[in-house]
Formats: sequence, structure tokens, C-alpha cells
Amino acid sequence: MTSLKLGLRNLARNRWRSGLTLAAVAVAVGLMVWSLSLYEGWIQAMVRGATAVETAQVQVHTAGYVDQPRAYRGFRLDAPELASVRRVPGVVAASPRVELHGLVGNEQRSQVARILGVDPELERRTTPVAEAVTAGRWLADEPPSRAEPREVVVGSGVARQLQVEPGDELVTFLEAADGSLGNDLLRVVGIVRTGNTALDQQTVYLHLSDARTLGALEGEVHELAIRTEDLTRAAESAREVAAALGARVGMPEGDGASPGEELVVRPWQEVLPGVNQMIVVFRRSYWILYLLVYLLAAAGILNTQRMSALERRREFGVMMAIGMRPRRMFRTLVVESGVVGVLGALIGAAGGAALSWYHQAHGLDMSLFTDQAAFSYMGVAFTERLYFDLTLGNVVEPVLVMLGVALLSGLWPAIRSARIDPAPTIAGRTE
Amino acid sequence: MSDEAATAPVVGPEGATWSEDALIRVRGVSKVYRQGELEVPALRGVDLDLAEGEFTAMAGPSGSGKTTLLNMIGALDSPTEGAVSVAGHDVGTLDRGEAADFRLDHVGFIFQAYNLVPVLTAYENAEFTLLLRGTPKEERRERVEGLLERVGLADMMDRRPPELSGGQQQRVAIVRALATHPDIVLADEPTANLDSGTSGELLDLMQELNRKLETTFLFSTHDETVIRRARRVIRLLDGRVDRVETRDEA
Repeated sequence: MTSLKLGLRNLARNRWRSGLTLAAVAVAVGLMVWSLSLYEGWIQAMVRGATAVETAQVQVHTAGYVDQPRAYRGFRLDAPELASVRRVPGVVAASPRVELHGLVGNEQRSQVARILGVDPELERRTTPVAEAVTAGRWLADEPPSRAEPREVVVGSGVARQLQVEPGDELVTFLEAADGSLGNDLLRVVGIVRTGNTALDQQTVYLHLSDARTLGALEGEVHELAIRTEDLTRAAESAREVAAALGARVGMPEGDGASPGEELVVRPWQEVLPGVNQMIVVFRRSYWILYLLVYLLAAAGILNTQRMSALERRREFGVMMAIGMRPRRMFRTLVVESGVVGVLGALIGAAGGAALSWYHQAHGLDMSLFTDQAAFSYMGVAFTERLYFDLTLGNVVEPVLVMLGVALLSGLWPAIRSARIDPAPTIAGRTE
Repeated sequence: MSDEAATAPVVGPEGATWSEDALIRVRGVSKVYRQGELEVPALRGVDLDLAEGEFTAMAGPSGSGKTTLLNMIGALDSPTEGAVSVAGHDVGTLDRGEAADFRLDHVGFIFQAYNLVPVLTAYENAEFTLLLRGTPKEERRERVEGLLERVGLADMMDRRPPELSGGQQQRVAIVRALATHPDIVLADEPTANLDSGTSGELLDLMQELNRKLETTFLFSTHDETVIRRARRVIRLLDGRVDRVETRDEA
């Protein structure tokens, strides 16, 4: 208690210097809270951007399809199985898909395309692709009668490449699961621009039933894309989905260890390892920022404590002369550093949390950093406002680290002060 | 005096046995300071006894060894040769922690420059040694308030040192020194920074406390006022006891 009282009083002794040190600590902690929240918000936006428009957060395939995506490596998925997946807690929607590859074109132009067969309504619930239609409309709930050309929605890049617009006709040639050549007439009903480069430039959407017919995949799908409520719980959701389907979670280690027909359920971290790796790199890069910010704060505290200890050498000499043990002197000085750390960190955490909370609620205007209203980074679309993710950990962690830094910074002046020889110090003689 | 002081005779260095009745015994104490290659003798074989309840001054010119001897007795320094016993403790053999405990339990210090902690109030400065000892709050209040009243600072307890005059600060320092009921109060030039009027008042106060509390006082001083008030004066010259004067109480 005496140590704490002395610590607080000594802070008030040189208000200007203490204020500057407290400000440095507070700014460091506030900056860390704010930047951690920004980073987490960025990561969330990146994962959302990477997963939302196509992969969703959990996917089911056959092990063989994951190993080598071939048209014949599909699996049967009946309505009760689909219903059991949708009953898994945290699962919002699930979209069965057929994925084929072939040529799409007209008399003038053609390109290799990824042909995605989807249930329009289930896909609409699983991904926001239906909302990304920039011209025409999304696929009708029911495919047109057989006499009509099959409906197709094309990516904006495909539309540009083929120079088509809604109402135009296209033909497709693709390799079906049975080795035959599927071909048919398609009518463009809509154009989508998702911001996802691969999707916009290579993908066209057909009705699931039409794609099955073209690909000779009656009753089968290649993929079940599952949207979950919580991005961060994708791995847990994958385990629960696997349990519902009697499937394996993730790919087994080592190629070929799993029978090709076995179903595997993978969270987005496994489906998009590149994105996951990028997040790991992002998180590790925190530490560089941490190190720089905390080194600066540590230098500030160390300097203040050292100056303060030097100024009070005589006072410390007197305290030790009248009976303060060296260990208690050490403790008093460390507590003083701790007081600077705690006060500064709490002020900084409050400020950083308040600013992060504002940016979580209202977003940070990213147009300050880019001349485009919306932009894409590594193929992932971002909106013009970045919404922060403020968590308790993002506030508590910088406070605890700063407290540790403050205590460590105070160690050296404390050790030096505890070694004071009282008699010469009181007499004003250097030791 | 502590219980320990009343126990068996102390065995000093080289088997020298000291009697129990002296509070302070200094035997053959020499101190040599080294300044690089140079050896500077500060004390040269000092012998001294001090009984409980004495009001004694050590006088002598600058460099005669007064402060060095005071530091030896207060366990702030250790002799190069010889031994110092205070209240039954061979203080030259204590380590830093033990020496701090010894000072806290047995010695009160009064310094020339008062040396109060500037961020603490008069009351807090006065109770500081009791806080270090872990004395309960009520007992601290009782002792400190009583002493502050006795030295005439009852209405200045909440003032911090910069708000007190030199004489008032030295009164607080006296209370701080006496609060733990030490065996001895060591005062190093306590009146050097005060005018003669204030010095006289403080000496009256210390004499009164010496008489009423039976606290032993040992001063190092140049001040003739202090020297005249002392019942015994130890004259030091060139690190040796030149002569000892004993007189009736002034």
C-alpha cells in the first residue's frame, strides 16, 4: 500500500513528464487495440469475401473429387441427407452443386468456362450471387420447358469476353461424367459481377437439373456448399456436418489413404488454404507491429523511471538509511512502473476500444486509402467501408502486454536504486 | 532497548568481550577509504563507550571523522578494522538487509538537510518508519499524533515538506526518528541549516525528549550551541578521539 501511494504521488511530482509517459503508453495501447480490431475486421471481411460468394464456409465432396476434380467423381445426395445437414446447429443454408468444365460460346467467340449447376433458391440462400446480378435476372426457380433454351447466368468477365447480354444465345460443349460429349443451347438471362475474379471471368450458372442432364449425373452432385452463421466456428460446424452425413472431416494425411468415394467435409480453412495461410501471415505480422510499438513505449517508461530514480537518489538513500530494505525499495520502484503501465494502458484501452467500437458500428471509410469506392485484394472483393471486429481479447491482450512491458522497463532503475549505498548517497557523493 | 540487548555479553572480533551495560561500544575502529590508488584514512583506532540515555556530541573540524563514526554506529558503513556494537549487535557484520532491519529497529536518524520525502505529508513522513515496521494503523496514529503534538506541529500534519519551514521540517524529522522508540538517535549536524533561535528551540525539544523518553542522543556537530548543551563532548581530531569532556547538564 505504501509502495502504491508513493508510486501515485511520485507520478504527480513531475506532471509534465508523467503525463507524456502516460500519453505514450496510452497511445501505444490504444493503437494496438484499434489496429488489432482493424486487422480482425479485415480478416473477417477477407474470409467473408473469399467464402461468401462461392465456397461458403464448409464444403462436402468425395475424397476422389478433392484429390482430382473429375466429372464422374460425384456423390448421391438425397433430400433427407440434405435436410439433416440443414438441421446442424449454426448451418444457415446448403447448396448442392454440379461443376463441369467445357466450352461456352457463339458463332463469333468462345471460351473455356466453369459451368456451375445450382438450385437457384438454395444457392440464393447460401451465397449472395443472386444479388450480384448487374443485368437481367437470376435463374428462375424452375427451369424452362425442354422446348426452350436452357437458362444461363454468366459472369461479367465471360459476358465481356463473349460480348453477350441478357437475351443472347450461347452453346456449350462439355465432357460428361460418362465420357460422352454434352452440348446444348443456352439463353443468357443474367450477368453477375461478384468482385471475385475467378468467378466473374470464368463461371456460368445453370439450373442444377440442366447441369445434371448435360453432365450425365442423374441424382448426383459434386459439391455441397454450406453457409454457417459464424466464420470462426467453421471447423466445429464441419465436424457436426460430417457426423450428420457419416463422413470424414477433412482429408486424411497422405494421398490415396481415403477411398475415392468417401465423403469428406472441409471447413473453409482447408478449402482455401491460400486465404488461411495469408491470415496466418497477417497474424504473425501483428508481432512486428507489437514489437515496434511496445519497444517505443518501453523506451519511454525506462527513460522516465531512470530520470525519476536519478533525481530521487538522495531520497532513496534516506529511506534506506531509516530502515527500508533493498528488496522493498526494489518493489516500490517496480510498483511505480506498474502504476504508469496500468494507468496508461487503461486510458489507452478505453480510447482504443471506443474508437474501435465506433468503427465496428459504422465502419472505416476505405476510400480514404483507395480511389475506388469498392476494391478487390487478392481476388477478394471489399466494400468501401471496413467494419472492425472488437473482441475482449483485442482489448485485454494489449493491456496485459503493456503491463508486462512497464514492469520489465522498471526493473533496471529499480535494481539500481535498490543497490544504493545510503551514506555516500545522502552525503551527495557518487559511489 | 530491545530484549536482545539485555542478553549475554557480546563477543566481538578477535574474541574481545564487551560488557552489557554500554549501549554503544566502539573498539579499535579504523576506516580507510580508497580513491583509486590513494588510501584516505578517516578513522584511526577509535575506542568509545556510550551509555543508555546519554546526550552526547561529537565535535571536531571537517574531516575529523565525526560523520564516518556516526555512520559506523548507525550501520550505514562498516569499519576497515575494529568492531562496533550497538544494543548488543555487532553492526559491522550485518549484510545490507540485516543492517536495514537493525536501523529500523534500533536507530533513529536526524539529518542536516532534514531529508523528508517531499511527496508525503508531515504526518506520513513521521509515520514512515512505523509503516516499514508494519505497525498497526491505530498504534501509528496514536504515536505519531502524540509526538507531532509534542513538537508543536499538531495543526500542520497535512502539510507537505515544501509548505513547512526548515525548523518545522526538522521537527518532523525528529518525530520520524523517535516514532519507533529507537535505542539511539543519531543526529548529523541537525542545526547546521537553522538560525540560532530555531536551533535553540530544537535543542530544547531534543533535551526534553532525552529526559522524558530516556532516548539516547548522539550528535555530530560544529555548532557550539549543541556542544554547550551536551552532557558529554567527544572531541575528534584527524580520525582519533582527541579528548572527552564530561559536564553537568546545561
